[in-house]
Amino acid sequence: MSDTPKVIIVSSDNGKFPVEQKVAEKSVLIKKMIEDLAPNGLEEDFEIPTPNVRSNVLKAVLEWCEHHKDTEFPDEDDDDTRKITPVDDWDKNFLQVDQEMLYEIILAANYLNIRPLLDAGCKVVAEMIRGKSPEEIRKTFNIVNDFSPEEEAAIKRENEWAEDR
Amino acid sequence: MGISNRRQKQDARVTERKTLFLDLPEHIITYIVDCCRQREVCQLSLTCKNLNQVATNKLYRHLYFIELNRRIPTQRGQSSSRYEVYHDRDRHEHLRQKWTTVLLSYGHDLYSFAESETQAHRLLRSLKENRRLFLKIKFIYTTDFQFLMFNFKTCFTNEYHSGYRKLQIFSKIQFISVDSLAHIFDLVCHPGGDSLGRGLVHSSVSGGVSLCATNHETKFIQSFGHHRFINKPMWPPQLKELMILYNSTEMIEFPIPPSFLKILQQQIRKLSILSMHKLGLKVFEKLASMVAAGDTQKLWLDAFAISHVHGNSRCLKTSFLEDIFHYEAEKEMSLDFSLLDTMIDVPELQELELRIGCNHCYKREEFDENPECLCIESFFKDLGVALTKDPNKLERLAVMKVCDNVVYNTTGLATFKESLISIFQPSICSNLKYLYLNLNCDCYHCQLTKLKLNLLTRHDETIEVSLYGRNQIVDFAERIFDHFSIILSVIKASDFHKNHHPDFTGSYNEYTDYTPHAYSKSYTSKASNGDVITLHNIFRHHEVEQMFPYKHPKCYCKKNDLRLIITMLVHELRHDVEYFVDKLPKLKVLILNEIYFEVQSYFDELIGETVKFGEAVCDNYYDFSKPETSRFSLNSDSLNSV
Repeated sequence: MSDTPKVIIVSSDNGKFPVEQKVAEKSVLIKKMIEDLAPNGLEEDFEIPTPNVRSNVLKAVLEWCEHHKDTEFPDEDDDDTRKITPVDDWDKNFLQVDQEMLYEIILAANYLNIRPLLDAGCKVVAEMIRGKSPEEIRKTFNIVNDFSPEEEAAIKRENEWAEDR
Repeated sequence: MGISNRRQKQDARVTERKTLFLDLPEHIITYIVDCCRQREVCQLSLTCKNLNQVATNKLYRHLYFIELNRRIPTQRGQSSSRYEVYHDRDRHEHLRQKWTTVLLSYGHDLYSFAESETQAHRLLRSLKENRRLFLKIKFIYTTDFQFLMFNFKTCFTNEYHSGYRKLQIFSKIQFISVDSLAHIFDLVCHPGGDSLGRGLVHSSVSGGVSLCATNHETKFIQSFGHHRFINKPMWPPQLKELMILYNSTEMIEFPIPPSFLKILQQQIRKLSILSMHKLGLKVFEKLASMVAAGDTQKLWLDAFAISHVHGNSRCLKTSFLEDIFHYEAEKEMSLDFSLLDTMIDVPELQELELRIGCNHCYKREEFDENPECLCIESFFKDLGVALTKDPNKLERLAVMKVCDNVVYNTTGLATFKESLISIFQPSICSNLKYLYLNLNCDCYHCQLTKLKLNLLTRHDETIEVSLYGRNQIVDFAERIFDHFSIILSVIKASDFHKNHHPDFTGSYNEYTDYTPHAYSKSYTSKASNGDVITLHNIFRHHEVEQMFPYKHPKCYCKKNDLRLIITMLVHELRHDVEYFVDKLPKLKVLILNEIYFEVQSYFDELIGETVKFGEAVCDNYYDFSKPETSRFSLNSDSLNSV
């Protein structure tokens, strides 16, 4: 067991996370790297630096990968279907973190190219927007209103017909 | 060491500053916006300028104007599975949630109409306030082109008196200038076809904008058309094609300013004037008289199409009896076709299309001795000189009988054809490549059937004949009559020589000029298994994708009419069927002009032998998306007998 070479992912703050190849390959980026650099399969431990992922984020991401290591995600190019599919409960729970962490997970998933995680993260953010007024959205996301009252009124009128949908 | 120190410092800086929503890269924000419902996208657009930009890009892309209980196009799918039926409001849920979508549902009940009216107001206000929105719209889907004016007709019939308000909506849409329409990438109106005019199918892609009017919307022509087209000093420069379509039963007089004529003269290359009644003819006469009065030079067109409608329009009336009752002989109008020569530079024309939709003939039966419609005859008579002028560029001459005229012309199809050919002088056609004779209703439904049946044959309907040399004088009449039988005999000869068929006695050698090779382009079918003969590919079909396999209420040809047409054809084909059934003992399915004849047999006890006969099989909704081969495996339960 211990003989199987591991993939060691190194975070920006030098944290080392050894994981099974299968888990690491949830990341398309890592999968491609291994394919390129070790075309004949791993013979020894393989170290991959991820300079823009902090260790606590990386830990979370790898926890997700570990959980989903046997999940077959449909290989869909179809954006529409992907956007409609609801987030699964485990993921939802997993992503119950503070906003900053959520964004960092999203960014990490983006960087490591873990599409299903990125999807889930984005959907959770979308869920946070749901049902909120513009003011509430601003509050939630720390957004500064940079519209003049006139501009705001104009956009409101523009959108009127689309709002009820 | 130093490097790693610096990196650690950098990392520390990154971690010090909290990552915020707006710090996410743009493509991720876009993706998040994609995951939101339309309502939230609207809210997001109000939060700040950055998000406004992202969100607004997502809005206003697709407009769906759909009627309840109508089939609407879904996003993907093939021609046959493109439509889904939605039975109630909730079924639209999935479209409602799309940020790109606006649904304006208008059903046939007042409640939903009133609701859609409010929506319409909002939409119009939005468009008026911000015309640039129109630039964003990439697609408009609608069940028909009433989307521009909504379903006023329903309200009138229900005596719902808010016409004034509705006309206001209607007038507001006029703020959308023609130029903005030109930016709409693709204007899909479907099915939108009707018995005389074609639907407005593709608009600005080809640089064509159609001017359409339906029902009460002759007023639309008067107001919208008048202001936006007729009185407009500048038209979109890419506009080369103008179709003026009148569907109203109302006759409305309106002035045509000389500027309109000038524009026609300067930039329009293809003009169609199609109407359900005489209004089109009136407009045409007016234009012609203006040209004659010297207001401008003759129009220089590549293509011209006009529909000629005699008699009252039956289309919007409910019953035959009512129609007879309302018949007003004094409103009859027949066009003097020589006006065409006055108005248009005929020798410059490459395509000329005449649709004869006159329906006075069956009424005259009641009142008159001579029930025949002579419009086609007078067309050739009046225009003969102009058409034979040398040089002329005419390449496609299409004479069509449409709608009522097909069914109610007492003389029948075959006679019409004969008389047409007797009038049509072959010397006219030095440049002519196609003579297109269509005696069928032009609505989608009928076109589908036509496709199915491909009503060509030597017996009429659609005939598209290629002529050989550019200046070769051909005996046209003979050519048409022989065309089909020639092909038949060629097939018979080649296939049965090949198979050493003992029953075959062909006249192959009589037609040495017409080898299968000569027809190779169009003639693709082969008696591949010896049991089936297909002739349906001999002439070119219309594009299958454009056909809509269901009947739309705007198609005015009645089901019975269609049946009648089919029956007539089957009737006329019976000799051929008998011939084949008799000559080919192994034959199981015979396809003549896409009418399927199943060869059946029964034992006649009187004669004491088995009798074979060809039973016509006609499913109007034949699935053309099936691969070619599956057509041969038709089994009896998938087909309905005529």
